[in-house]
Amino acid sequence: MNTIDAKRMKDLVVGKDGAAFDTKTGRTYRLNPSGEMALRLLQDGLGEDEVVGRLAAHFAQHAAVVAAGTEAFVGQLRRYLP
Amino acid sequence: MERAAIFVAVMMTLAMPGAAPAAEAASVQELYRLSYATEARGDFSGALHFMDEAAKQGEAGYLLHLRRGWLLHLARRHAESALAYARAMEAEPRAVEPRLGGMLPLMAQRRWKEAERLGQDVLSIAPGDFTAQGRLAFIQYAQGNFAPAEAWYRGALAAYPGSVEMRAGLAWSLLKQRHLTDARSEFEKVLRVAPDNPSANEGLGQF
Repeated sequence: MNTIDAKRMKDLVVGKDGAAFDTKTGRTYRLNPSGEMALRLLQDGLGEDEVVGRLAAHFAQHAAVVAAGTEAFVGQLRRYLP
Repeated sequence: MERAAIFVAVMMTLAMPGAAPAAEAASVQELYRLSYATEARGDFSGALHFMDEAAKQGEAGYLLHLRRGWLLHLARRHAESALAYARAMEAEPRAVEPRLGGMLPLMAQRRWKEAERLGQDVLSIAPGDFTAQGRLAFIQYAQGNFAPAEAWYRGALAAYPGSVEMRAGLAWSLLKQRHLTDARSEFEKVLRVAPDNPSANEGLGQF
């Protein structure tokens, strides 16, 4: 997996219920619970492999399933957060 | 050749944030130009440095504060940014742009109530402003106030019915209030024109 800029991730402010606001662009998004947790971990500077491990443990899912979901999520972040 | 070398050396001095000012200070006009050029390169602290230099040369007033607010926000110095925007508002009490700008650092700090006040100020000056309504909708949603969020999303959509972002927000606000039929209808409207929209797909997946 490629790395993602943790600083840029911090431009996303997350409110209740996964409501996310990009303070750089003013655009808004909604995150599901796993996406919200993944974002918070990425904002803390964790690598994507570590994020997968944490999510797999938290949601009691197989790591391969979580890895696919995380990769898709990171792809969305890259697309929506230029 | 020698003239070119001197020119490059002066420009490098000017372009280094935090460096001592050049012996012969650049004009305020030149500092604005350098600030914009430096911002365009993504060096927000550097761009801010040139505005601070302009202030040292006596530049004051609305545009200086507005630009400092924006650059401080981009540099993630949100508390200082909010103060700079407040000074711009003092300089131009009826201006919309420092209020819209000032909402950003407040929202970045989750200072929802203060951001909401600025949004309301914008609407008192410019009724129906799309950006203000969209942000007010988000501010309410982010605090779990889904009925007021719905109202703001509807207001924004009245002005811009084609906004997929606002329609998805409306759909989620309805879903959270368990207005299921209306929520589904709004999600479907989003997906009709944006079939890959992740938010609407996620929302519809909850039915």
